[in-house]
Formats: sequence, structure tokens, C-alpha cells
Amino acid sequence: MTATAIHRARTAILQEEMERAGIDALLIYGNSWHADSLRYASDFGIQEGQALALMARDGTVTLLLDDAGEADRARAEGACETIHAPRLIETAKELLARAGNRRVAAAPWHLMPYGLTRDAENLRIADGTAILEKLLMGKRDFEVEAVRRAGRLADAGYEVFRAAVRPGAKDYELIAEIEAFFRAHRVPENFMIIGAGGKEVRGMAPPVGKTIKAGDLVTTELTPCVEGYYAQVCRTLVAGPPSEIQLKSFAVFQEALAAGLASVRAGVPGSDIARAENEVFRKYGLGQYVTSEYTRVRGHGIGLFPDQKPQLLEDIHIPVSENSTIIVHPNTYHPDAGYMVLGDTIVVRAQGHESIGRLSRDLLSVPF
Amino acid sequence: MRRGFYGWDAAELPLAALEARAARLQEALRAEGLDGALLYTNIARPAAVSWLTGFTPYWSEGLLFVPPHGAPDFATALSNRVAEWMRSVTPAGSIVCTPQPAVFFGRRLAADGAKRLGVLELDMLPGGQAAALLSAAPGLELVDATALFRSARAPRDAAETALFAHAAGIASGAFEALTPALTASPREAMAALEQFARVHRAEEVFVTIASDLSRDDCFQRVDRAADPGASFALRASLAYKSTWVRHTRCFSKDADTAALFARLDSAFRECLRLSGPAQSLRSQIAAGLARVSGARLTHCSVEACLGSYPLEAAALEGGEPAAGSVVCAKATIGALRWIGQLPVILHARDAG
Repeated sequence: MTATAIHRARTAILQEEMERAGIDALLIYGNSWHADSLRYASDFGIQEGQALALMARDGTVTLLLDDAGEADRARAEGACETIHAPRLIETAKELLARAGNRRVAAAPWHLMPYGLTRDAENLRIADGTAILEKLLMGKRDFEVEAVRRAGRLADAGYEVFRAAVRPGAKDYELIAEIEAFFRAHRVPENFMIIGAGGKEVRGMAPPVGKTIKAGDLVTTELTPCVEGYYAQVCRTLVAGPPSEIQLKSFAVFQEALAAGLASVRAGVPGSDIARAENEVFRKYGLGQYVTSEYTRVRGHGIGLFPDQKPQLLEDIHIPVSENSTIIVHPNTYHPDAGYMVLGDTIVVRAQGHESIGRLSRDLLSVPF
Repeated sequence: MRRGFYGWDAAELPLAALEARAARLQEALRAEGLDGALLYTNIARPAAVSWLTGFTPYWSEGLLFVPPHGAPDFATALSNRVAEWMRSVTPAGSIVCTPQPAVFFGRRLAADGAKRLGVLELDMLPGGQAAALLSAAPGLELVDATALFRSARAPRDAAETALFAHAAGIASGAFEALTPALTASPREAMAALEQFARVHRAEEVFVTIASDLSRDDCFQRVDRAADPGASFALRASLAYKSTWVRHTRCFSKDADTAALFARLDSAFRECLRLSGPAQSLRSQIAAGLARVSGARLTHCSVEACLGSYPLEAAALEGGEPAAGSVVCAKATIGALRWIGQLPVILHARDAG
């Protein structure tokens, strides 16, 4: 599907949801961190500044951008009427006032500027987060196809990353190579963090200037996007031949990923998937390493936001729906080897899942 | 998100410079009778917090509380696991990892009996943060502290000037490194600009293209860029240690047009080099470009870092840029468009 067709399809879906909820208009906020709701409604991938989009029941969208360059870019894309609004709140209030006595659902509510929420009653805006959240989590076929395309780029990108791991390379130089690859392949955004070293490394973060040395574990998660839809891959490689300890430690992650994936089917609570992964660690006496002290989540939803609901944690019971896209990743610290990652984006099916990635799930290595 | 190089270097950003900045803000807070200042940060609006702490979140969000006396405290929803990394790249103040930074500060303010809290860009504070803050500190009056902050932030110091110059050098170097073979393929050139900047430790890079200057001068990202025409422009917006600059250059496959672009670039650079007070900037640039084949200035604007945005529109006439500025000029020569954009220090008003 073309970008235009994707936008039209999402607009129709939003119109149905507005009709169902008895809403006259949707007010959507976005910035370069949380760009998902805005992208869904306006098809604009915001890069700088902040935006509000007002969608009427007839599907027309007015996009307010506080950055002049971004407003020019949106106008050139031509998906909706665009206003450069350096005084974003005042312009939004004027727009809402012109819209008259209507019921407006605003999302995501927690990010909606205080200048609007403190006047919510007068402006007749109310929390509409649930409307968008449901659409962002569940995916239509055209959305799954975009995630698949992003997944293929993630796989190709990982091979570039792997080839870039050379003796003496700095961590930020690896990032430079992969980002150049993605830009050359028309990928505008990529969520990526990295870890390099041994048992002293407790997680991944942006690069800090480390030099890759023999024996290091090099961990990364790559998350490129196509038409705004992200797919993620998490892999660990060793600079040089892996040690017995590294291989043995990594086997736990392979078993945990397999257990997590085996538990996936439509309707299963995310907590069940997390528990399946964590039970493997507990079986090997590594239970403490699946707590929040060592790891954040055991996977999460993915789509127009690279880290969306449902977060896979044993105490979050949101079910995964059929055709939703999630990543299962039992990433954590192993006391014998250090921080290791392994994960793949999948499509949830009625009785299982469809893997999107094709990369080997072995502990990878590069000659050093 | 940010995925380029992060790192604090005391030689580049001395702790004393950060302390002096906080002291200026605190002096203003005390003069206004405020019980502190609250500054919100995320990757779209990181500049105010990074100016005071050196830190930009690569993801998630956070709040910096600056009391009238004492060191600032930073609270973020980033998890404890990354606290060690944050401390390694954040020289100033303490760091608290909490799922609800606003509740954390609200409780503290309530316990301290605070009455009036200054908030930078109050209207743009996420509603969820405001609600959480006020739920933990009922009765607390939130006061917009944008003008107060901007005034305290305005005088640039040597560290900021040096970081700006370094960022400008990366951008300039990236364009200088483009070979004719690369500029023959604009998408490859965009990738090369980004790679150069990241290899030279840029924290973030956005490269965009105005694909066909015979049609328009709108900059697009790589995914939506049209097929390039004979003449196009590339823009690199990049950050080094939280300090943002932009640099734009035009290219043409036609040798005569390329030579004309080069003369306009040179004239623009010379105008900026000779520029005096901001009041005369537009006329200086207009006159300088007009001397090149009668080019007509159609647009002139200045961006600077004033509050939480990395760069935002600054006053062109009569204003006093707070730190390094980015000047953009657009001109036409007949049907041909030209765009120039360079980082420059326009004004000397140093804090020491």
C-alpha cells in the first residue's frame, strides 16, 4: 500500500471510532518522542518541535506545527491542511473555539499541554487516549505489512552492524555506519542503543566512546521504520570466538526466547509471555536477574511507536490481540557473562505467531 | 531518540560553568520570590535542562528542579539500571529515577511548604506532569517562568560558545568532505553527511533535502523526498553535546549554476563574517547577495536556543541572540532558488 492509501485507511478507521464513541473531533498531540498518535491521524512524521492535529468527523485534519521548517515539510507532503503555529496553544484554542460546541477527545491525554488541559471543561476536551491506544496496539493487515518491511530492513541493518564490528572500532562509529545504511535505504528513523564490554556492562545506552576489544560482548537493538511502523531486532555478538561461559550463558536466553514465543497466541495476557521467559531464568537459579533491578521489560508492543503497550511484564495482564505486532526479548544481565540480548518482532496469530525476522538466534561472533 | 555519542568532558563543560548558570537562575528566582523552578525535558525539548546539567535524555522524559539555593535535582522516568550511565554523562546535580518525577517533586515541595513554583514554558508542560505535580502538592501555584529563564540564560559563556563552534565545525566538515561522486547521488550524500557527523561524535543528526530548487525550497526527510532535480539543497541539523546548529548548501549538476551557488555561498559567508548588530543583518545580507548576479533576498531568519527547544525562531531585528545563532537566507536569481544557512556568533555579550 502507498503512504496515501495507508493514511486514507487509517482516517476511515478513526472516523468509525469517532462515530462509535459519539465524538465530534479528535485532538492529537505529538513530538519526536511520542509521534505515534499524530502519525496515525495526520501521516506526518514529526522530527522537531511539537504538534497538535484536529481531526473532524468528516476526516479532514488541520495540523498545527510550532516549527516553521516542519510546517513547510508538512505542507510539501500535502496530507492535510497545515498551519505554522509558533503560539501553539493559542492557535489550538482558536481552532477549537471556531469548531463550536462539540465533543472533542484528546490523545494522548498525559502529554496534552497543560495550557489546554487546565481549560478542558471550557474547551470541551476530554481524555480520548483509549480510542487511539486500541488502534495503535491492534494492527490491520496493511500495518502488519509495513512492520514486515521494517523487519527486513532491521535484518539487513544488523548485517551491516555486524560487519562494522572491527578491532579498535568505537561504539559511535558502529552507530554511524548503521545510520548511514538506513538513510541510504530511505529509513528516516531508528531506535538504537548499544552495549560493549564484559561483566561490568549492565545494560544498553547511547554510545559513550568505548573501543571494541577482543572478547567483548556487543549488544544492540535496531529498530528501523517504514511508513512510520517500526520493527525491532535484538542480538548479541562476541568480538572474536565466544567463550564456553558466554555460550553457556547465552543458551539460557535462547531457551527463554523459545519459551516466550511458544506461549504466544491471540488473547494470552502479556504477563503469561513474560512468565514463560522468566521461568527459564528461575529454573537456572537466575531469578533475581529478571527483576527490575536488572531488566526493564521482557518485550513490548511495536508499531508506530517502538515501545508501545502491552509491555511484557509478569504484573501487566493486557492480552495480546490477533494481528498485533510485538517483540519478545528476554534481555537481561547474566552474572557469568554480562548483559545479553536476544529478541525478534513477531505477529500474534490465533494459535501462535509469525516470525518477521530471519536472523540466526545463535550467539553471533565476528573475527578479531 | 538520540543515538549518537554521549559523554561529559570537564574541559569542554566545566562544572563551574554549570554552577554559574544555575546561580544566575537562582538569583532571578529569589528576586521573583519563587520557591524554585521546574524544567521539563524530553528529546524534543531538551535544551533548558541540558544547559543547566549537560544532560539530554536519549529517550523518555524528566524534570529538573532548581531550588532558590543549593544544587538542582533531576528526576527521570528512565530506570535505575541506566542511572549509572546518566551519572557518567551528567555532571551537575543529583539524579533520581522514579516512575513519576512530578509526584516526587510535588511531595518534596509540599513538605517544604512551597507556595509558588516557576515553570519554564508552563503552557507546554505535559498535562500529565502538571496533574501529578498538583495532586502531590495541592495549593501550589504554578507560575510561568519563561521570561525569567530566558533572561538568566541569555548571556553566553565560554563553554557554550566553544561547544557551538565545535558543532559548527562538524557540520562544516561534513559538507567539505562531500565528493562530487557523492553529490551526484543526493541520497548517498545525505547518508555520507550523517555518517561523517556521527563519526565525529555528533549526538544527533537530521539531514533533509530540498530535492528540486526549480520547483520549491521545502526540505524533506529521506523517506518522502522527491527524485532530485538538476539543482538541490542539503540541510544538516546536528547536535554536539546538546548544542545544535544547522548548515545548508545548494548543489547543481549544471556547472554554471554550481559556480553561481558557490559565489552566493561566499557572499553569504562574508556578510555573516562582517555582520555587526543584529538590526542590520537583513540589509547586509540583501546587499551582499545582490552583488552576485542581482540575487534578490526573499527570506532571512535567525534561530537560537532560548528555552527548552534546541533551536527556535529568534528576533531578527532588534533582538540579541542568546548564544550562537543559525542564520538562514533564501534568494532568487530569475527562476533559480538559492538557500544558505550557517551557524554564527552574531553578538558578543559574554558572561565570562
